[in-house]
Amino acid sequence: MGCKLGRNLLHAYLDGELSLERALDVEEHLAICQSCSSEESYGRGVRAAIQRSNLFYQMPESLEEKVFILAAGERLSKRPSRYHHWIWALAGAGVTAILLVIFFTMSQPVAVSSVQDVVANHIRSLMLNHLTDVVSSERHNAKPWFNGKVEFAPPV
Amino acid sequence: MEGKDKQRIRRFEQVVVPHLDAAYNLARWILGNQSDADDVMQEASLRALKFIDSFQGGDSRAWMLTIVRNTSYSWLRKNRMADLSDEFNEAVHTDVTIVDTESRLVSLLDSERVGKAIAMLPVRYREVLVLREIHGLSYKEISAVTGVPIGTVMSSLARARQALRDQRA
Repeated sequence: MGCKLGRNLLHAYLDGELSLERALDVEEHLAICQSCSSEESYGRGVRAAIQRSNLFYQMPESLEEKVFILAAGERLSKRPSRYHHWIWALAGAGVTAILLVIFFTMSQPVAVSSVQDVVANHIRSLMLNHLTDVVSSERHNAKPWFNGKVEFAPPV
Repeated sequence: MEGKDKQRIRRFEQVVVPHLDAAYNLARWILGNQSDADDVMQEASLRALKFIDSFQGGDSRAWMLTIVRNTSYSWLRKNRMADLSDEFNEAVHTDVTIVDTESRLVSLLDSERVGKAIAMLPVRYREVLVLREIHGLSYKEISAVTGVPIGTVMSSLARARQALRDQRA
């Protein structure tokens, strides 16, 4: 660079990583150094170009569901076989209960046709950037699967 | 036993689920395609659940990003070792650079061009740039997630940004 400021410090300055004192030093230097000034300008241009572009890859919904089901399945599958049957039933009921509670505490009117949908809704409700998602109501033929199967009074 | 499972899943929901999108984005940028990122995300999520009790509080995003980052690198070491090369092919960048010699955007609003340029960076430079510019992590946070010293984070960013500008003239 031919200048004592150094490229690294310049980029730290661009990223707001310098203390106020050092940042002021850099600015003073930029006012008098052509080569650093143009390097700074390039850096700004590159950052601006990146910020203008939408480069954030959203996780596919199918993967969201896979992850949650994997997690639930992974924990529930590690059971001593002696208690195999009733632990599975209890765990299943437990998961069902959790999902039902979650379902009832959601205020959107939705037609749910599978456990996967409820699971996906649950995941979505947890994620800030999915709060405005509305489940499509295309499934006119599907009965809400919880009908008549509730064994406890859900909290309202 | 059953209550502990529920507790683990609840912790997973609190600690990991809010950062799944960010984790996926990092994996996607490191690995270069959706299918591999999908595989790595599933593996990383299982690992996160397995070690959820070791998370004692603090930055849960950094914790999950570290797991995904490490899982991605392990995957590359196993499947695409060549992608771990640090070779900087400067010449390759000339037709996808995004800022010209007057530091004007070569083509405004051309996301694809910018994305392409970043995707062509060697992975260690790319991940630092992605963590800084897309995830907004500080140098300290980037250092924590990647295990790379702060000084190296700084120089990698400088190098990556330089590579994204026009090399001609």
